[in-house]
Amino acid sequence: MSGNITLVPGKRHYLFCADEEGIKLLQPLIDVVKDGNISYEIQIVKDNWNPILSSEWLRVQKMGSFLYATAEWNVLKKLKQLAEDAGFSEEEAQYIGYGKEQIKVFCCRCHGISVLEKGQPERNCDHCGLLLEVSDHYSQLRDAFLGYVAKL
Amino acid sequence: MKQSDGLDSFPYPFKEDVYRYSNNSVPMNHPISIEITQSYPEEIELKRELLTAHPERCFQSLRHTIKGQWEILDLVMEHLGTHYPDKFGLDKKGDNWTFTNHLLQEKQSFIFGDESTLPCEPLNYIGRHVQEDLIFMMQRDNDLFLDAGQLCFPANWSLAFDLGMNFKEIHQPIPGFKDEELDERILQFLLKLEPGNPWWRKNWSLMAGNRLDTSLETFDVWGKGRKQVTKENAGEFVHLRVEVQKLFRLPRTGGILFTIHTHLLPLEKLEAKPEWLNQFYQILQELPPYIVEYKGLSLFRGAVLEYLREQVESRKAL
Repeated sequence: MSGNITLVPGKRHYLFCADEEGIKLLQPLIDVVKDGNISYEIQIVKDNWNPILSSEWLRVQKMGSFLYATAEWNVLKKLKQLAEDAGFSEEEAQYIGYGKEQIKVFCCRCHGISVLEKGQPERNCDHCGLLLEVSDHYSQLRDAFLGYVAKL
Repeated sequence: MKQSDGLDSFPYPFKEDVYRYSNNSVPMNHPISIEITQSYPEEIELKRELLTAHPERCFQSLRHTIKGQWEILDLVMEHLGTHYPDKFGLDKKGDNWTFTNHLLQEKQSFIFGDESTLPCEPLNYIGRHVQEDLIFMMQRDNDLFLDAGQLCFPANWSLAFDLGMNFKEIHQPIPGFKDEELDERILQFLLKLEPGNPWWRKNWSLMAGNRLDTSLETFDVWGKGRKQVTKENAGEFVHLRVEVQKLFRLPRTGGILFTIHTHLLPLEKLEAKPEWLNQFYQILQELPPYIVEYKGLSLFRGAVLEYLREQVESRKAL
């Protein structure tokens, strides 16, 4: 997921999906699209957000639509999953997260998953207690980074 | 647990006095996916114990691999029956097959392609009869994915974590591998592998101790041995660990069977092979820091070098 918000030109339809803070980050892009008289839609994700509605909204979009999704990291991960399930490829979307990002760490000893804040270098496994050094080795299947033995 | 059956059969991995990562694969003159050595009984016993005690650590598969698993079972059983006819038998009557392991006094009748007629998945079954670890890489989108494997003797990596990864993702932790585009070159080499033309290579590391099951899952236990190496105990305690790795393209599914046969040799045995002793001393001395670090040698390389230097000098004095 990218932290840079850039307009990808030449798309037939732009989709802006964001929470209330995220829509502020997207506003400059929305202004450009508005000024250019280009087709667009906005969906705001609120506190009582219903993922089914977003899912349906994404599914009915036509080829050539480009999605900007901007939200707090945990919400953004769900949005990304919905978009992928609806058929959006990496080239047809930009995902911009803000706030504190949480990541998962896979314990090399017990295979348990622990959740921690991104950037935290070490963490005791929630399941077996082993002190883990968080690596940048990532598994899409586990959606987690590998945690190595931190101290011998 | 296991030491090499002897110096003559030990797959010494070096040709030159300098070691760097490379694609050192060569075509196989005798295309056999497996090798039965004198250590067969104890290694199979250990494998089966590990598979029973730690099934998730030692066997992983994605459901779409079943066809390929049958293809691997077919290939390995054929090789066992053909190359070791006194030890294994394979009788095929249409899809009704009977596999016999004379070494273990075991016989299994099953219907080829019918999973319910085997006690476990095909790869998991045949892996219990060979000393090799068996890894299955499937090809799609011009890439290779680790989609199944039976791995009991890993050199400090986790099959459970790496499952489903593509070739570059698997090798991402190796320093220098991506920078030098070695990952891309080796991937392209593997994608060009053809059925009927298998290749093989040797890989090496140093091991403080003599465990075969150096899994990442147990690193907190066996890794401590690295702190216990001294010049005095290195000859007996430290082992040269060599993996003979073979690559077979499977003709029907297009996947790749990657077999890994692990051998251990205590350093003291190098004394009987002065050319190996001298060369390994040169290699270890010259080894760049990023390889020292990745191969986990930082904690005990110094002690091993002192030991080797003494051995080399005492030979010169003779």
